[in-house]
Amino acid sequence: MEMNLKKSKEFALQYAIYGVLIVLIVAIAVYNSNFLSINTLRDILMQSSTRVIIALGAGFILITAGVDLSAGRVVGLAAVLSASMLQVADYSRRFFPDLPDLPIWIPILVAILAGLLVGILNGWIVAKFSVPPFIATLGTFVMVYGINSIYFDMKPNESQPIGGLRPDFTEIGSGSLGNGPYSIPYIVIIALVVAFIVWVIFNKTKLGKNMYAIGGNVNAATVSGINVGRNLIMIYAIAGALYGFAGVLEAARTGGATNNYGNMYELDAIAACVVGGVSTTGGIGTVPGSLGGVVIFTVINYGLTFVGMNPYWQLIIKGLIIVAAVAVDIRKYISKK
Amino acid sequence: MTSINPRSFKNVTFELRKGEVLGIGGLVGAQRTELIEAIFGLRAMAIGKFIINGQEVKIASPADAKRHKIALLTEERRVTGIFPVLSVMENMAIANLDAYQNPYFLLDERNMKVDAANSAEKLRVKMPSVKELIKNLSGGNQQKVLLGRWLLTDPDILLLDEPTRGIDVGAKYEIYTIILELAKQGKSIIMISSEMPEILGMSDRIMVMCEGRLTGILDKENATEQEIMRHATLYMG
Repeated sequence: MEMNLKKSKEFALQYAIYGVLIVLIVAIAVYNSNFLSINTLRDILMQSSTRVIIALGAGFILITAGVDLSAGRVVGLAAVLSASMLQVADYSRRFFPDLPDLPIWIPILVAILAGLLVGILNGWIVAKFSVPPFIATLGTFVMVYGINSIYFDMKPNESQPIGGLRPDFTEIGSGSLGNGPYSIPYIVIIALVVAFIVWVIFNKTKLGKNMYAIGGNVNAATVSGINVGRNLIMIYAIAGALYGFAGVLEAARTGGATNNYGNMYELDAIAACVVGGVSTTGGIGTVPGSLGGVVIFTVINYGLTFVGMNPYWQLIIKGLIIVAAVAVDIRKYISKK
Repeated sequence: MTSINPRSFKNVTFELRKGEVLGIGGLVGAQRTELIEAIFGLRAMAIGKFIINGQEVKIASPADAKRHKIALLTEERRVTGIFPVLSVMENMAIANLDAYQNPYFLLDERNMKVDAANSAEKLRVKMPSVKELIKNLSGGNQQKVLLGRWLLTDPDILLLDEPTRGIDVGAKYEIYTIILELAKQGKSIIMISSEMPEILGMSDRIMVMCEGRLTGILDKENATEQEIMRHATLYMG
């Protein structure tokens, strides 16, 4: 009986966040019934898409008991890189005036590879020099912004926002499968495919199991014969590639890019993961949880804007939710001792 | 074998026979843990040579040790053994993931579960299911899961560091039975123990260390508590 009570309390804590989500939706819907519409759902899913990909990258790192601050700046770098090579031929302010029309996958691949390289660098610094992930990725955060800004400032662009993107590229970010209100945006499909791939990595691969083991107890992982350094480098690399891909999608979705794209996205991603049940102490976290966390934050953003709440108040509410989520998480952890 | 650390073990040479339990006795600080962790590739050595079945092998990491069918059950179960927030199944399978990988690099979870369940049953781990988190098990049951982890890798040599430390009497007895059974199957076991009745009762031979040096190897017949203590304090005072 007591066991059951404890179990149900644990259950309630585990899923408290979905309760919050439902309360929030109901409250906003009561305030303005127009909120419950297929268009709202579509908007929320579209806005969540790139954030989901970034949050999944952040989730990889959090589960190893690390943290990756470079995410947002990598998004910016990838957005600028891909956009700079995908402008229409007759645009007046081309980044590369004489660049021929490239096959669309080349700039996308270049941007993802850039993210991958930053990830490898992060992992290498953490694994090889035992620099705490917070500091290692703080360093690359600053460096990547510097590199991106130098690239962005090159002649003839000189720090002008990059626009005039090719329609075949922006179609990826704003187009839909089908027509009308029930069409499915490509970007949502892409995010779901990425989420599925990440789910497979988390649950069905050696790398995934090693990731949970490293986060759960790094010493035990070493004794079990896991090459912790090599696994960490691979994990940071995958995360970097995900940020890079998210940056490409951001450019495609918004039809442009500047060096400030992605600024602070890492914080949103980390917050979404934590709200979605990824433990800051490592070893715990799921893909559905991270997706849930992202959707919750988008609902808060979108919903509170929908009812016309002052954006500064929204920040306060967001902050409170993050702190509450971590407090609940830590409570779960402490109560076991 | 000699450690790179001048205060740790020096000039330790011994041989391990197939199917025997070799006890390592000594006082705290005799560098016994350091020695077997070095054998497992966790610590660097200035001089270290291993010959397994007549072949010289190189062991520089736990992965190398695993490849040569060596297993290590560490002394600090909580610090270097269990993954508290992972399930019994994951705790068991973690050292043996290669065996569950299919040609597409995906893990066969069903096999993993079957192996974990069988192993838990054989070792008589008391738990609700293999999905239970290991941190909810008693110390003795956690230790059995860790033993199960290494048995899944089918080792020839088991290094056991204080295998019954901090667990209840019932589980202790069960672990003794398992160790003797493994020796009977032809596995070679090195067991560090600070408990006299345990080391005297379990070992075929007892190697005693004092301050990083090997002070004697006693046969079962002439090993007594006094003999062990004499060797364990040989370089002291």
